[in-house]
Amino acid sequence: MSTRVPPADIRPSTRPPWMEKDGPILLGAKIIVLVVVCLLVLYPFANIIGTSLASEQEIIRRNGLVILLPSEPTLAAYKSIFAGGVVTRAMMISIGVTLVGTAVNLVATVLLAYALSRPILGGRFILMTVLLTMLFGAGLIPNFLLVTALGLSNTYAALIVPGLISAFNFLVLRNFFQNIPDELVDAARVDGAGDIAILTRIVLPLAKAPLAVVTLFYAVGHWNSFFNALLYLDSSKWPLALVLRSIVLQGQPVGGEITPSIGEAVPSIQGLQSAVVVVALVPILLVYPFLQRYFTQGVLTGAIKG
Amino acid sequence: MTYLDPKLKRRTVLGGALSLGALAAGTTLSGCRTSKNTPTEPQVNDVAMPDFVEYDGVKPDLPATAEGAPAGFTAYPEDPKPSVTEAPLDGASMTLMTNIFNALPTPKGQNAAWKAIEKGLGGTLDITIVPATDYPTKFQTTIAGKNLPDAMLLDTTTVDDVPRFLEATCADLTPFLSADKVHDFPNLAAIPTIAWEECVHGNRIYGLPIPRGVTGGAGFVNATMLKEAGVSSPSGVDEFFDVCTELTAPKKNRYAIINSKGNTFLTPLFLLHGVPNSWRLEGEALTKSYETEEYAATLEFALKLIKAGVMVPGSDGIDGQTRKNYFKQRKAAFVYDGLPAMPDYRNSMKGQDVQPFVPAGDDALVWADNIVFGQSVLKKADDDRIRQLLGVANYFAAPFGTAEHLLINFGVEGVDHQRKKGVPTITPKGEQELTAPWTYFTAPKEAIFDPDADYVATYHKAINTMVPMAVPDPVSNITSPTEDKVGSKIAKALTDVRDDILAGRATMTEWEPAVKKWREGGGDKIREEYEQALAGA
Repeated sequence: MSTRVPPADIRPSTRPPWMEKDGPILLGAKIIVLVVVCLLVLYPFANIIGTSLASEQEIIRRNGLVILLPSEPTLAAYKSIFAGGVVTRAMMISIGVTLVGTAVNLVATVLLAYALSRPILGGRFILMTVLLTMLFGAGLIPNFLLVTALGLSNTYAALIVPGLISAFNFLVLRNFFQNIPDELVDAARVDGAGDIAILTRIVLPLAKAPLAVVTLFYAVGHWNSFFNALLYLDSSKWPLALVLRSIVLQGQPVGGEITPSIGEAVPSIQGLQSAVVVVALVPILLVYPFLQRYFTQGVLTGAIKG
Repeated sequence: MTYLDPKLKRRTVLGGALSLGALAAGTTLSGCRTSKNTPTEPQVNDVAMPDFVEYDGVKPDLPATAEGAPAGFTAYPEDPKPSVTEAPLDGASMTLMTNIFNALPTPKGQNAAWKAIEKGLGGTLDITIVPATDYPTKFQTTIAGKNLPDAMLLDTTTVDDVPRFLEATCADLTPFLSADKVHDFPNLAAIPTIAWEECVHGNRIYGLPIPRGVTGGAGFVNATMLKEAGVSSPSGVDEFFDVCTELTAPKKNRYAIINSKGNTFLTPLFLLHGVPNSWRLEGEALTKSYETEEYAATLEFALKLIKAGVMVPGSDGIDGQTRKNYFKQRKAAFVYDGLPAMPDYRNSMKGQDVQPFVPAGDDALVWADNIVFGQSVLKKADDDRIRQLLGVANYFAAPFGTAEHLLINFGVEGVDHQRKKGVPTITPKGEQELTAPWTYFTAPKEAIFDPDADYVATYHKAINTMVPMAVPDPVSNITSPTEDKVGSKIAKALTDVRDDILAGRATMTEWEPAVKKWREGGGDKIREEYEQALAGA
């Protein structure tokens, strides 16, 4: 006998109130709030894009506020950035370091997280050591001495090796791996699969969401990092973030802009600085939408211990 | 991959961290250590300065002065003569670490100017380029890592005990440059003595100066706006107030003064009131500028200006870039900015008569506060190597009008610059290549150069009026251990109170107690040390 489902309008609601359909007033209020928030978020973007396309005279005339399209758009700032080849080369370096660094980071983190997600001899000691790095850092000078002593000065490895495994990303993956049922692993082992085969054929295919999240974290970290490059690399090897930062900070004296630069001529370069911000943002804006659907799911999955 | 250096034991790592801490807290250790140069007592630096030998290879349109005011040129010699006869490096290489205020230059391999300079030096020049804002961090890590380049820009903001640091780490240049010994390096001899005096620490010459125009000036005035308002450049404090009130028309969005973070507008007011440059010396007695009646009077005057509404509203919170923009938009007629900003204002404000503001009046003065940008120091090495590096410094100190100066500042002709009516005009490629910061190793005496004769004349006249008025800091060549230890900390505490008063968060009644606190916190001890040194000189 089939069960008749009563019509929706008389069906008792078992859903939470916030999942109920909104009335017109509430819907309108929500739309207004969201539109206002969106405009507030988009305003600085519009300002930066507009300023990057404006001439110096127009920027001065409008006191730095050029929303969207200026009256006399020009690509002079972008031409200036990409002339000379410095930014192009830096971009290639950043792409290389991000790709290689993210791959190396992932391999190391996955291996460590999987190994420590299973009971192994000495596992607790290694786990505590990894977690300790989240709480205490050696500081700038000891890290510098260590990297120099390892012979990594002025090499791209100095950007990758010191931060090879992030404790936070390790925890995200480890927690996920721990939630994989032992029965799955045991079944695979009964079929003759070794640890590597279990990892690659069973565990990793189930871990797409946290892997995407960890990949994003590492990739964005590599793309934006500049401080280690400043300490360890010659200017000919600077990644994009550091080159663009030096353009943005042009003319800034030591200690910031508290007193005028008595000794140095400081040119007006707001258009250039805005173009730099746009150039730095574009690659991340291109990549992020493809990983967004994994982002929330992955973070929550890894964060909640089962 | 190399393995961990067995010498990098726990002690080395801790030692590296502690060395930085020792540098920061160096003053507590300096008292316990005896060394021949590090002063634990105040002393006057009386080492013989390098002889000054003016370069006479180029005749200026407007002459320089013995006090250090720059010469004026409206043309560059068609056929500049070389000032260096022998390539200093002779096949060797040199490493330099210095800061940059501009974008990164084209790398050495593709940089025509850099390659040409290396050819002139007769060796290779590798520069570790560091953005100016990051230079203190890089400087600290470089020192702690004990991996010093041959030459580096000295950063005194991160070193509390500069003489001790220099003695331990850097080459003493006194035997090579003092008195007539500098004649071996004629371009260095053409640097004014006043610049060399900034390079003396612990009574020894350690630094190579990067000279500037002696005074940072008193800001700029838009003379066109004054003319439109029917007023002229003021003489004296009262006239200045009257001119400011005449200029101010809020309904037309026009004001008299643009301020910015740190109350930068105070500097021209200090100069109008005759506030001394750091210290005033009367006989053998020293008075700090904070303690003078003139300083308190300036604060009262500033409050009067604020109350009269002559300042651009909200400008006390703006940054330097916004300050410049406001001035270019003609929001106000007076702004404080360093004199080197003149070309930027001139280029951006065509049709406006922008001039350096020259303080006038019975009490007015200017400070000799821009004698050098900074100084570079050399790593300890044997005498032959030091001479070699000084030869490179001599190359970069080539005066205006020489072949080396043209190459360093304008690059290779046909690549980095073109001659237009005899004037070297930098090409787009040159703009990319010439941001290389070799001018922050050492540099010649400044020169005013522009094909616009009126501009050169105006600027030259202003500088030549101000430099003779420039009041030096009477203790600039004296080392005070207490100043090294606590000077900047107690000064900051006092200027915080000053800024609170101007912002209305405190009243003038709190000024005297704050000055008293400065005295008790170390100011009196600093004064005592300076006076002791002066008395013993």
